[in-house]
Amino acid sequence: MLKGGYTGKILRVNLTTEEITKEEISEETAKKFIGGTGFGLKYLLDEVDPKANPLGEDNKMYFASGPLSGTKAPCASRIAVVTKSPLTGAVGMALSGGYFPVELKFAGYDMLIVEGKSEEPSYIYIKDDIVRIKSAKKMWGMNTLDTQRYLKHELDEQNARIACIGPAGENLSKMACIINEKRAFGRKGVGAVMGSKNLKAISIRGTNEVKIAHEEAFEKARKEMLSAMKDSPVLYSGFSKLGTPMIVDSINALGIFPSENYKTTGVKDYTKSLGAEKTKSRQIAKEPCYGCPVGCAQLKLAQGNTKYVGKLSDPEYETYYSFGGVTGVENIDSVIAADYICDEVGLDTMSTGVTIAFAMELYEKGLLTKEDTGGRELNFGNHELMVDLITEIAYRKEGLGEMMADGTKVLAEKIGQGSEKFAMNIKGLELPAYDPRGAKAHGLNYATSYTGADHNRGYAFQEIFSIPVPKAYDRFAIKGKGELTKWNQDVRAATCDCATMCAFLLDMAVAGIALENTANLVNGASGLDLTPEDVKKTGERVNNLARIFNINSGFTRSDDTFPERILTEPIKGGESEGQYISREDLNLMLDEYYKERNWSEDGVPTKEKLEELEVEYLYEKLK
Amino acid sequence: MIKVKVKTILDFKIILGGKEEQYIEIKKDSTLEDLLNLLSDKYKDLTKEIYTDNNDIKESIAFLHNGVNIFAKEGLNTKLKDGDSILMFPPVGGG
Repeated sequence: MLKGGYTGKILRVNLTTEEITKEEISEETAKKFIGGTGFGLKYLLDEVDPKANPLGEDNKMYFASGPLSGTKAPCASRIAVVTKSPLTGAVGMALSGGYFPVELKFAGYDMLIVEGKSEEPSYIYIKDDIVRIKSAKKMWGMNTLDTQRYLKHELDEQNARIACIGPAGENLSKMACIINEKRAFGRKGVGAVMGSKNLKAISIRGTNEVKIAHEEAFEKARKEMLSAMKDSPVLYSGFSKLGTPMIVDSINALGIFPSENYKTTGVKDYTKSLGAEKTKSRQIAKEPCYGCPVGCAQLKLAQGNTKYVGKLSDPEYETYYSFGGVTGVENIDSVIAADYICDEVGLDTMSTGVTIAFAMELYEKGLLTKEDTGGRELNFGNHELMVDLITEIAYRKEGLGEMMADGTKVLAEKIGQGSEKFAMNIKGLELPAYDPRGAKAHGLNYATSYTGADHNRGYAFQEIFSIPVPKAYDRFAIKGKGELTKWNQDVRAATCDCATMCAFLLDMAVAGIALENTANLVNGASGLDLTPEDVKKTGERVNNLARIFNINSGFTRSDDTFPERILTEPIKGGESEGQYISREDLNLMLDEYYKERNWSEDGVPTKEKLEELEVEYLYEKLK
Repeated sequence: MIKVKVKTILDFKIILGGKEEQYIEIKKDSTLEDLLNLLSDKYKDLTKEIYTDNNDIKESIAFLHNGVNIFAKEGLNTKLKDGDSILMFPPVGGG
């Protein structure tokens, strides 16, 4: 019997049959999977055919908060959505913050499962025990920010927390995200899955409290965490003031800020145009998530160009890359405006920017012509056209919009002529804001992450910030990166993605104590008796489960790779000059990584490993 | 004598004389420790920013020699060569 932290309940909404059911979550599931991503993945493996069409009726969506969400644990308002991704065909998992995650818990649920497909546009209304499927006809076509405003009025419920899709999700763009407040379940096209179900929004209002099993133990663990946060040399002193864009300067200094579709990384420096000094000139307020004393999200007000001036948005570091460096754009106001428009139309800023950068290179190489662009010059650095293209993508506007709407992989398939060699994606997911050629474990995580090129599944802070936990690493070295990547992926999955905790705490405050602190917090909240080793094992379990789903979806070792450019073209300047990841080096790293995971040479989990992780039933699924 | 490049960012620029990048001349066969001593003499605030009370380099500081974290190699004993690049930056995070 779960005594706290968890609500112990799952809400299942079938949009085809309109059945709404409530189920118990077992203590065994809680122990093995902790929550959040762990819960979602367990159910995805149990219920969804890996060969299912991601945009078909058989795909499902699992929205799951962690046992710490809604408690007084700091920075725990996180929620995962797990589904089969239309962008990659692999497991699609995206996390969001804000206030929506805790509201699900306050309404009395650890997880919401959405299945089937509505005949008409609809939304799910949840107010504690009352759950309804309602018509969203009036909202279909509306942008995400207006949808939230409108729906609060329709429901006469100003305190409702709403997650919704915009036109991009309705039009099934594989880069569509789900927006709640102004935060996002950003990547892997999860918004298109909602769109395919004719589901415009989920509105939640909860009035319950999350119980705590052992107040004293929980409080002790919470204080440990707060104290680690206070002792952090950067969390309050720097990060809380600048947010994620504070690393524009350091990533440029390391020579791995991707530039012009990875052609000129290290050669062009974006510190002056997009770095901390410039950012400060646009910042006007903070926008913290529920229960966060840090408040990293920084609202910035665009100036200058009349197309951008007055736009208020909170672009993250990744967006400075996707609408900055990788597109060769050095105009910070266009980055702010692009971020705002992406949120409005419901597009992932990262995939969208990288796809535009790819189109820019296609244009420069003559593989896209003025006939394709409607007479417009699609060169690197053209920020006005970059901003215009976002809306064209969301609405699949005939021409470039339609061509680009499903990301770099699909665009490369349409163009052909070897263009896939510089289509910057892995398994279909566009690369994040660190050139992997100059940070090999960070790169190996991109290649092996179960969601595709996803920095958040195993961020190598050892290479990016020189943090020596578990020890110091040479970012250019190949040896030892398999072991490190496994460590990063497992610790992050357990503590951040399952428990749930904001990933920035792991990097900046609790890296050395994360497993123990997560165990103490979850035990205090729930009455479970997890050891730090159990917590780590959950992370490993998550990565094995996801691997099995992906293998059964058709992925093999050959998909754990990089775009040709990363494998063959050295970085041309800066502190990482000369670096690349040869095929031989990739194979060395993969061999070591699979060995560390006790997977076969082909990257398939062994029976022995699955037994050790107490999920031997999954071995049958591999046959 | 040899010449090495010292580069930094953010608030560390203030500590290193407001310079993002500077070239330092130092005796042949010098180590990184020698370089730090030389810089500490030149820039008085450097010592307290980068050393702990026990005279170790703070773990939170990124300290790279030719792009690589010095603590993954030979640390402060690293021998310097003409044209080497040293990058130091204060604690950062995000991403």
